[in-house]
Amino acid sequence: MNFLKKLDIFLLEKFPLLWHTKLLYAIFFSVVLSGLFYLWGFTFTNEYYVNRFPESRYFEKSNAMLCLFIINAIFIIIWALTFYRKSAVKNLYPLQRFYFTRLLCSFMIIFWSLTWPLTTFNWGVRAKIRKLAPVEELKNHIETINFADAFLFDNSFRYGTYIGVHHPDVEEITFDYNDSIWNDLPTIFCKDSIKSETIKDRKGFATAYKKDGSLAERGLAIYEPSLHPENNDTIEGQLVQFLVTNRISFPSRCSDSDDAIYLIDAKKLKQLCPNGLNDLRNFSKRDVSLIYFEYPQYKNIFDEYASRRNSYRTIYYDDYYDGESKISLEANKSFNAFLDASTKDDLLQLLEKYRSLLIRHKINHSINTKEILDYVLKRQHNMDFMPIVGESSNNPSQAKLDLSRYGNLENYEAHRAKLVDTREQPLYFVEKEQLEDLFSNSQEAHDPAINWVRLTISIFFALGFALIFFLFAISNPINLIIAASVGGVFVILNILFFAAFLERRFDSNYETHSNVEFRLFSQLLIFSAILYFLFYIFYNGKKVSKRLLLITFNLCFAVTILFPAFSFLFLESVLKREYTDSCIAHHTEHSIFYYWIQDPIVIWVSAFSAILLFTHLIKPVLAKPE
Amino acid sequence: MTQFQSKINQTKNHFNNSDVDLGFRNLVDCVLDTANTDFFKKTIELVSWKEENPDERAQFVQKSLILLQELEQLNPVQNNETEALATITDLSKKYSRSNFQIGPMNIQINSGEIWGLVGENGNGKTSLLRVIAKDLGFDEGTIRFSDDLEQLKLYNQRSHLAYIPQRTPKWHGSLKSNLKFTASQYGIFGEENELLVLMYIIRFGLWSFRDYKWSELSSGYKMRFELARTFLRKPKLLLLDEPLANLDVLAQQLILEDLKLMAASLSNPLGIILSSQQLFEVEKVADKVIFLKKGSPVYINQSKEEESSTDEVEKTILEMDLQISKEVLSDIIKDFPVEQLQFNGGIFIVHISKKSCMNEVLQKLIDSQIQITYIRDISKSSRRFFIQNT
Repeated sequence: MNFLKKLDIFLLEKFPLLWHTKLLYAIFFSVVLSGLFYLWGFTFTNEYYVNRFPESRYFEKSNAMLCLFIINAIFIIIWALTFYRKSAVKNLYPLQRFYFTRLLCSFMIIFWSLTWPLTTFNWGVRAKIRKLAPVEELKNHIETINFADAFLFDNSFRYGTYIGVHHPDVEEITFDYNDSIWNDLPTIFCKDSIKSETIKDRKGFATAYKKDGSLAERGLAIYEPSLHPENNDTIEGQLVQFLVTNRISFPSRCSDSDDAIYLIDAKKLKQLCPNGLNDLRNFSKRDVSLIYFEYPQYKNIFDEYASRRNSYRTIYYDDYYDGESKISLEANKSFNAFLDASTKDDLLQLLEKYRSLLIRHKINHSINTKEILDYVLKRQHNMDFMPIVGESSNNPSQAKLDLSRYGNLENYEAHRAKLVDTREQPLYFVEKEQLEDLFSNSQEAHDPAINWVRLTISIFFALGFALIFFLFAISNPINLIIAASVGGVFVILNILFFAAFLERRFDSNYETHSNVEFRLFSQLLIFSAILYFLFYIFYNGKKVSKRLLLITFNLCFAVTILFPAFSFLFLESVLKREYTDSCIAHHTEHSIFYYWIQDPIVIWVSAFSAILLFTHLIKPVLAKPE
Repeated sequence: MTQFQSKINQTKNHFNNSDVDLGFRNLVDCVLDTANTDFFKKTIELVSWKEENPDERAQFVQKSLILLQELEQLNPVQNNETEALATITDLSKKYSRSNFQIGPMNIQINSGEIWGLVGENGNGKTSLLRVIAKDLGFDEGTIRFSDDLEQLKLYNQRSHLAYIPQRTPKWHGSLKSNLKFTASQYGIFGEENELLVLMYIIRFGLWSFRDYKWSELSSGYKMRFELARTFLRKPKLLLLDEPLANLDVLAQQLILEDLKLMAASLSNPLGIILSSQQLFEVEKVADKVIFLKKGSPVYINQSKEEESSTDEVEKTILEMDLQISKEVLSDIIKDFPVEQLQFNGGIFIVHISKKSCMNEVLQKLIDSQIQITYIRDISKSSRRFFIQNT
């Protein structure tokens, strides 16, 4: 207490602005609060939340957000009362050098510091997650999950995986069963069994190709398998045809991706998979990838900033994102190698390891490893059977009831065979979403990068609040309320003025015939210039009411914050070049301002600089006689 | 003998005449004039000692006299600026909506001068003060400040023109911390900040209230706080709007006396303009008085009559509180050339066409054995402008 008193006197005697703004106390308050929120985050986090919610939501889930809001509101009220009841500006005290800059910066730091608890709460959460689910441990379990998954059959097998594993030269081409139209629309160059005449005759605009098999012109190919019975097969009641294809790629003049010609040759399905599709060896797919834990390396903080401020990392099941068949192929290969080198005991050990992982991290599950393994191994060359392990449990009590009722998978299979509704959940289940959340949270918790998005938002929040309170420091509340109302009217007038010159077109959209951005931002700039001009007139006018001057000043202050952004957008609208190329593709060549406007640092710095320049007018305006 | 030495002698006389309070206030003024931090410390120690030993009056006087002796050895730098602080020429301000006009006004305020501004409510006193403080604009005329003030930009100029409104704003925190904040804003840092603030706290009798908050102070002490705060700013020109309102008589006298002493400071003399309804109290301390009637000024020099209207000089106007009826009084003074006899609010106002005849009237009343509560000659006082015309 004595120390605080001495500190207070020291600040008062040496640094009046620091004393007045209570900056150090605010920081001290924020540091203490941040520490408490760190502990809150740490103690709040447990396996239940780690497995169910993204770590970013714990702040809201724990009511910490509401609590922080209330605490900050109380703090701001008390702080404002102490600050505004002493005002160097309103008392017309001499102001130290760069007073307003320092005042604004102090406000910014104060309001920014109020956001720290949010960050430290997250640090607490992350620290706990790191403790509960160390990323190294989870990385070690990637193979366990991926391999064990093949035994926990949930009927999600895809034919393409099989083809990819056993016939890498064959590509599956998507086929729509209903209308018999190939969904892959790139040029299809047919040879041998599919005649171009057939295609041409049916739709009239299809591909013509040369007899010698050289490149033909592009077009839509229509192909009806029923017309080509020699190429078809029926699998599970659906007409399917696999085609051995050869894809020839060549750069496209009008497209970013290569054009491709598919050389199609018919091949019967039975030729491709003589032993049947359902084979244990085909079931492995990569659920979790190591890529998920790889961090990009950056040369410096600026590179990282540029790369990360918009990044969003969610690649858990990378099979769906990055070259599906290729990765499945790799996963299958390593799984097959594992199968070749493993005994039944090894496989059981694998499943037990997987189960231990689920138990260790309290992920909801119900599996009997030995029974599942026996059941699968009995059918490993024909796995056309019911799903064993569901990816989630809609009704865990039902699963438990089924388990006690049927005793084992054989009985349950017999029961399932009689069912009409095949949507009934399997006998066992593993909450895969929980596993995914666990990995995702663990990865986030170990993410070493700065959260640029959160940092940028918190700084903008601080700047916004600082500007509002700064205005209160130099103006009175009544003037500000009037200025805000007048500002609202001006915004509406601007919208109306802008809308009035838009032309209604018959395609039901409002738009102008010329550059909309240019119209909008030139209008805003002109409006800003009018406000500045009025301010100039009022400032120099002798008979102008001080209130009018102050209201105009407040409006100009608000406009000044946005002025750099308006200017950048206006300049971009003037300098950008739009053109259409010979492929009838539309292009825009942007100016540097386009990139500036998207960069929070540039916007922040430009707005802040504009305000600081504007602060030079505060003293003369306030001192002007009424 | 320098002015400082004569001020010290005057202070000694106060102590020797057992007027300890006034003596001590003079002593503090002398210490403030020296701007010597060692003497600041000694004065603060003395006050602290007094606080701990409230009954040791004789010893306190002894210690004060010792301090005065030490002060005698010093010869502080005196500020002998003779340039006018503000010269107001043909100044006028019009209110087009009410057709009311203040001025034209011609005044010159010098360092050390106190100007009283009197007049009925709504006659433009506050507006005139705000115009001089550059808080309000004006229509015609000029206000020219001393050269050092003129060189400053408007904001900095206004920093040196201290205007204290009638209703002072609420402040937060302790009295002392607010004064320290003001001092530091004016570039007084470190130990000097603490000492100077305490000196002004002592000077304005706020020592016992230094840790009080705004809500804990009475109106009188709030005004003292405002004065302490203002003097810390070392203003060139001090403009006070109704500083005596809401104060008891004793507080009014103390504040006026303080203003008089502070205006005559050797180190930082300043000009003061104060508006008030307390005519007699203001007239006592003011060098010059301006009476504003419907915005038009009447200048009254307290030391020398300078009025343009000379007709009133040749007559005597008496204000009397007597326990008799109007008829009895009329009968008693029938031998005097009475122009007018008014009875209003329990007091009589008598206009007699004869110069300086108060003693004769008084003698007549005594001879008639009339009970006199008070009698005052208001022939030269601005009080005469507040008489209802019949």
